[in-house]
Order: sequence, then C-alpha cells, then structure tokens
Amino acid sequence: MPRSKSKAFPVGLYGALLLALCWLLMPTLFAPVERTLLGVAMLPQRWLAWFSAPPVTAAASALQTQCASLRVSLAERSWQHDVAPGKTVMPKSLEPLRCSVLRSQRIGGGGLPSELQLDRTYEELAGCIDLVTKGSELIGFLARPGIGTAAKDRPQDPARVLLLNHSQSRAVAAAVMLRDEAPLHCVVESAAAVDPSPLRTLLHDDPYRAASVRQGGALVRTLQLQASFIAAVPEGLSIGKARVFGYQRADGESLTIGIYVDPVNDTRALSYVVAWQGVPQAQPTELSPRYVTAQLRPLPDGRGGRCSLFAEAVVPDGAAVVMDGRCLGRARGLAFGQGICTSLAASKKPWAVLLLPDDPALPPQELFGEVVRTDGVQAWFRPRSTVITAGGSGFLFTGANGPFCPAGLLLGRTETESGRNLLRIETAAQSGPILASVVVEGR
Amino acid sequence: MRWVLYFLLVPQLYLLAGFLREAGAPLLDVGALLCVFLALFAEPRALPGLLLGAAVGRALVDEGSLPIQLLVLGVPIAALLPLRAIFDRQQLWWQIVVAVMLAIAVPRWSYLCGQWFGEPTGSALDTSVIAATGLVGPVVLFVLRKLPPLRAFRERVA
Repeated sequence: MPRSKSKAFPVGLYGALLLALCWLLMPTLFAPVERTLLGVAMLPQRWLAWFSAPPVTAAASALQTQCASLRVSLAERSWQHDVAPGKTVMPKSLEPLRCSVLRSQRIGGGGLPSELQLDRTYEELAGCIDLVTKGSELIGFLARPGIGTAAKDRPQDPARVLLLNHSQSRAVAAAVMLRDEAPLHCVVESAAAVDPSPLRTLLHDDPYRAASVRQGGALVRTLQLQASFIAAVPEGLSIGKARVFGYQRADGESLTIGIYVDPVNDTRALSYVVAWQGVPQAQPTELSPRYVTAQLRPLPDGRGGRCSLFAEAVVPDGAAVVMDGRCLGRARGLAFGQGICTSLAASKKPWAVLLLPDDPALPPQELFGEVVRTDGVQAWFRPRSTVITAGGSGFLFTGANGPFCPAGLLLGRTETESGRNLLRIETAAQSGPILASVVVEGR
Repeated sequence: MRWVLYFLLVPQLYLLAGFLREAGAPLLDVGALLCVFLALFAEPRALPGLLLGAAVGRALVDEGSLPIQLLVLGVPIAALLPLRAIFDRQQLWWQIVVAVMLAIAVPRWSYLCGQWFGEPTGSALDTSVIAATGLVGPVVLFVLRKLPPLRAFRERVA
C-alpha cells in the first residue's frame, strides 16, 4: 500500500513544482540555470544550421531605405512636442536635455511603475535641477545618488526619476481647473498601489466644494509657491486629469470620497523625458548601444514569428534584433551566444511603442500594450489604457523596452482602427536565414 | 545515457511538430502528449527529470519562462497521477480522453499561470490542435513509447 501510494503521489514531482514556485520568486538566482538548459536544448538546431543554406542579408526594401529619414523625423517631432512646450513654462535660464528612458520599474500609486531609469548617469545630470518634464507635463523628480531610494546608487549609475506616484516623491501644490468655477487648490501626491489612479489630491482649500465635485476630466496644473530657489515647481505645468471617485446616493446626489489624478501620459509607455540643466554639462548627443552580428533562422514552432539566433557574444534578455534599422523582435538570451527572437506580432508580452502619424501636425504618441491578434501578415496592437489619438496611417517604432531595446527602432507601417482603439501593423514575414544585429550592450 | 538522449531529443519534438505543421501535417500539442506519457506511462521516480525536459522543450516554442512551463505541465500531471490506480492506461479510449483533456487544459492553465505570474504565454485554444492531439496523439505516443528515449522511462509492471 505505501508503495502504490508513493506512485500516485510522488514526492519528487511535488518537489519540482515547489522548486518552480521558488524559481518564479527568485528569477535572477535561477536565470543562469535557465539560460544553460535552454542553450543546451538549442544546440541541435545550431548543428543543423551548419548543413543548411548560409544566411543572407535581405535586399533593402523601400521601407528600409526610408528608415533613417523616418528616425530623424521622429526625433524632430518628438523634440517639437516633448521639449518645446516646456520651454514656455520653465525658467529661461534652464536648458532642456532630452533623455531616453531605459525602463520603468517599481510599482507605485495606482499599481503603475513609479520610477524611470534614464540613459544618462547621475554624473552627467549633476548640473540639472530635479524637475523632469515631458511637453508641458510634470513627470517627476530626479533622484540624487546616496539619498532616499537611490541611497545605494553611485554617481556612475543610470539616473533614476521618481515619478509623482512614487512614495518618496515630492507632493506638489496644484489647482483643479473646475468648469465654470474657480480653481480648487490642493496638494497632489502619490496614491496607494490599490487606488484607482496613480495620484490623489488632498488638503483642498475648500473641502465643501471638493466634496461636491461630480464630474472628472478637469485639468490639474501646478501652482507657484512663494519660493525663490531655482528648482521650485513653476506654475502651469500639467499634472493630469481629475478623476472623481465616490458613490451615487439614493437621493440622486453624489458622495465624493476622493479626487484622484490620472497623468496625461501612461508612465509605462514613456520613451523620452526632459531634464533641465542650469549648468550645461551633459553632452546633448544620444549614445547608441553596441550591436553584434547575429544569424537568424526561422524556428519551426508551428505559429511563426520566432527565430533562433546565433551571435558571437552573450545575448542579453530583451535585446532588440535589428536589420537595416528595423526591429525584427526581442531576443531571449540563452547560453553559448544563442537566443530566441520573438517578433512583435508573435509576442504575447506587452511592448512600449511610439506611433508617428503621417500627418506632420500630429505629435508622436507613446503607447503601452500588446498584440491581441495576428494573421501572419498583419498584427493588431491594443494599448492598455491610452486612447489612440492619431487617426489614419503612420509608422510604429519601439518605445522604452529595457536597456537592450532602445526607443526609436522602426517596427513597421501601421493604420489606426480608431473605433476599436487598435493599431493594425504590417508585419514582415521572414522565410529563410538572414544576417541581422543584436544589442549586446545597452547604454 | 538515457537522460542524455532524453534531454537532447525530447525538446526537439516540439520543433519537429512545428516543422511537420509547416509541411502540411496537423499540429499536435506536444506538451499535452508528453503530459499523457508522464501521467500514464512514466516511472514515477523519474518524473521530476522527465518534467524538466518536457518544460525545456515547451520553453523553446513559447515565451513563458522555464518555471512557468514546469507548472503548466507539472500540475496536470500531478492531478492525473492518482487516476493510474483507477483506469487501465492501455485502454485506447482512456488515452484519447486524457489527451483531449490535456490539449484543452494545458493552454488554459498556461493562460492562468501567465496571468498570475505576469508572464503572458501562448494560450490560444485551437480546435484542430485539440482534435489532432486527441485522435492522432495516442498513435504517435504508442510509436514514441517503443522508441528511445521514452522507452527507457516506461514504468515496468510486475
């Protein structure tokens, strides 16, 4: 009986499942094991590749030749919409410095990321005030190495921005611009992770009026304080839109519990932000990551969109695979210089992307979402919380998807399906082995 | 030796199934098939290692990480193991029922694991894959059970 019991309830199997749970809790500890196991499993594919056709560089298509000019256009329009509006609000003595976002991290108010990691070090941004903006929106405050959440950071580390929904971020004096009424003055600070929005208002100058606010959507802007220091938050920076949270009473009146604030930009989608330097120190040129050549071969997974990747260097997780400036996908790094590249169309993971509309008057839009459907030729991308404002067609670029997948790599041509808040992306089918580049060293 | 063969060949089954799909054959859910073998025919003592090999193979064709694949395949196996004492594993109808159940359960369970652990994985239910796994799967498994490396891991019945 005990023997048959052990057969029906094998301890070893349960141990393996328990190990899997520990593995999920401590992924960095087990990452080398995973890379090695999958790397070994990929070796037969590498050996088979020796007997197949050599990889070729794909002939440049019309879209690929446009790629360089499209990136320039993206940078120009991004500057025009991300930087220029801030100049009208910020003190004249400050110079804007556009910084790329490497990643957003650490869950804060509203269950959204509360920190950004920038492509510049604390040292490079030493001459900057701590305000970080995007367009005319206040994004957050630069962390200082050795202080607060950055206590263990060194000056050579990538700088961090504490978004307004970070628990250690500064509270900001603001005004809710109510319709047909005088602005409601208050303080905006981080909400709790379980709250419906990342930010909340408190200490209203007129609590009775605050309790009777019924409609959300009012703009929330910063208020100027009587402060003479240069890093004081200037008046007029946008924080977001008010969201009224409460109950409907039986008598038809509303009972307001709280006024929250939804930031204008989805913090998961932010690709570029602007720091303001009082003492110009940092170089305005953006540094690019280091690429190495890699062989890509379609992986027969039965669905398409995945390739095995063989490079001369260690492939990091999340590395962008690029051919002629066009992003073919993101790689999962394996041992022995191998990887598996998954295209945007085949990926189930969320991506941060940048939409550049064809209409030059429209600003580039940052989106965070995932592909919800694909038919092999086209893929449909749905943003999680943002509404696509740019109608018509345009080009889609990568957003900030980690230090090894920089923003601004072309993903493809796209068409907006506004009624359904979807982007239809034309995907490039890959049939044979090709030579591409993979990011091995981020900025 | 049997373990070397297992870890070299079994993960390639997933890619072989994809290759055959591209050649026009119906796509089999190799993960579900291996679960059938592990739940009904494999040596209980070897299950952790066999599960790891099956999970490594699934991680090659799916975006989910290896521990997710261990859970996706391991939990249905753990649920089915006690049924060995009730049903005769040689019965074809039972193998078909288990194969169909797993072809449905593995993607669904994969979806749930992906949601819980924040790692989206391939979880689309495809009726043609379920049908192929249910009808052709037991036949394929019968052949695979006679061949190395799976032959070496069959439970010996006294």
